[in-house]
Amino acid sequence: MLTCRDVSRLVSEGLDRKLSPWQRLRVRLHLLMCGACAAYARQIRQLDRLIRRRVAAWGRVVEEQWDCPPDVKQRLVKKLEERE
Amino acid sequence: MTDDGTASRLSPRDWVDAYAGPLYRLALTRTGDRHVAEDLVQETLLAALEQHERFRGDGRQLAWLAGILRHKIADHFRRKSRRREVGLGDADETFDDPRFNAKGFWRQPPSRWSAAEDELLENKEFWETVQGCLETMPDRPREVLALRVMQDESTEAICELLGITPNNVWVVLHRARSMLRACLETRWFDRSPSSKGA
Repeated sequence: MLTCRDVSRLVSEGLDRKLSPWQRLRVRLHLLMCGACAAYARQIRQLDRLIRRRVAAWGRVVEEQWDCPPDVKQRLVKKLEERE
Repeated sequence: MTDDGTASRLSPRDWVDAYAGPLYRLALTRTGDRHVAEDLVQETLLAALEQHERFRGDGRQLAWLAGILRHKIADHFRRKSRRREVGLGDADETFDDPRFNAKGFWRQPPSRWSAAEDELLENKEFWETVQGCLETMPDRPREVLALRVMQDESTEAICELLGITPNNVWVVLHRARSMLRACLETRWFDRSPSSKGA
């Protein structure tokens, strides 16, 4: 029987490679019976998807909201001026 | 600002005001490291100034800069992998999550939040928290997570880049995801009742 530790590893691996049908079945059965692992699986899949969506949204999100910090800007201007 | 481009071309402030925000965000989401992001944006803008590009402040110029930045991000990861000493840390071979007991069952089960994805996507504070969590991670898991999830590299590409086996990549990713999840649970989801699912 898969332990919760095994399942947490396989759920992550499932985001990076295709698990075998046998592994998938065993993970699915475990998740049906174990609320803690089901929550864990849902959460790491959501976080993975969120980060990918955020990266994909580059250039589409309102710019002022995501501007770089003022101190970074100041240092950038200074460095660029030094090089001129 | 003049319209002929001669004077504005030489004004770093225009470049920084117009482009530093989106470029920094691109670099930060792809590397997960704000110091690296700042350096790469600086290199990108320097490269543009050295090519005597006229400042235009438009989307096409931003796309051109983003192209330069993407190359610099790729170079950054290549340089890091070359500099890395041969051999892996113990943590790359197996990951022993302290949340499990000796029998492999939850000692500290995850709390039952679920993300309201569309809201979180636009929530600046949430992404600052994500960034803070990435910064608490050791370099290796943070970089491998950045390559796999932020840069969408395949396992094979990461193996080649870092000179490690597929199994190492999966172990490191598992460790990175587990750390990120636990950190966000503590710093975000267990704190903000509105973010919890029904």
